[in-house]
Amino acid sequence: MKKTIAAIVGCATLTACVTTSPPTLADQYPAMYEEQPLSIVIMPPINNTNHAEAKDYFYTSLYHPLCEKGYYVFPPEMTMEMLQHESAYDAELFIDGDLGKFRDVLGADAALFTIIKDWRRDNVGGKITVNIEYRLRSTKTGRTLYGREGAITLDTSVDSDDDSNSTSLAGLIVNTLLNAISTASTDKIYAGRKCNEHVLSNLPAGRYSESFRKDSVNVAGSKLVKATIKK
Amino acid sequence: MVPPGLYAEYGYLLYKTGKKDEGLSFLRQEIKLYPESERYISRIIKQIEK
Repeated sequence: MKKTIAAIVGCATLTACVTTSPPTLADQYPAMYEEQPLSIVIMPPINNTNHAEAKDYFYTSLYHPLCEKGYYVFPPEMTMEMLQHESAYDAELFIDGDLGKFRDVLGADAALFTIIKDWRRDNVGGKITVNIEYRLRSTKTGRTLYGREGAITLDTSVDSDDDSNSTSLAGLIVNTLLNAISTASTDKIYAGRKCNEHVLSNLPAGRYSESFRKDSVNVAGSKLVKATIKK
Repeated sequence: MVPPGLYAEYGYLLYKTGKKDEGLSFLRQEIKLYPESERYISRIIKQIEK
């Protein structure tokens, strides 16, 4: 009987250990380690918001973090021109389709798709909200190698030092105006950059990085990153 | 080390501003530094040389 109880306790402990250990990068993104893509083409972002400018602003912010991670990134300006010329400006057409063309024409191992789901500015509260999904797909197998989403709020509100400002009607108006000015002058892509930073922090390293193939045991973290950043 | 794509972007800009030979030389530098760019960049070079 004692042996049975000990066995049950042992099993329970083991199960507890298994369920509580957080997934590693190799657990969460096994295809990244199997295919080890070297070169990435950044696809024009898919913009599901009413802010037309978000697509181009955000596109320009993606090059740097991918290079930093150790990947060969196709020259963004030239590639965008080529994609427009080849009628591939709308990445919606390719996100679920065959990517063989990008392998044939560019020699790209993978294509990074991004979907801008929210890109909002709240002048009264002084907040910028972005919600972006990232999906890296193999041009060879079509598999999704990496996927993560970020919901980032950038708080640009101005704290007034004068207490009377926050209580009187005039003070409220002053604060609202201050917030509006602060939000309006905020670099529009700053929130997008912050989103890249948070989300792509767990992208397995590429061949030009010293961490290449050494980061598979790192904790992967949540697939949805939520954060509020005070600027 | 020069980051990926920079030689290519610069070379392409030079070409577009009329400096074809200089541009081609930078595009070739890109391939030399990053051989994985060869398929794309050599295609661009061929188009320019036409």
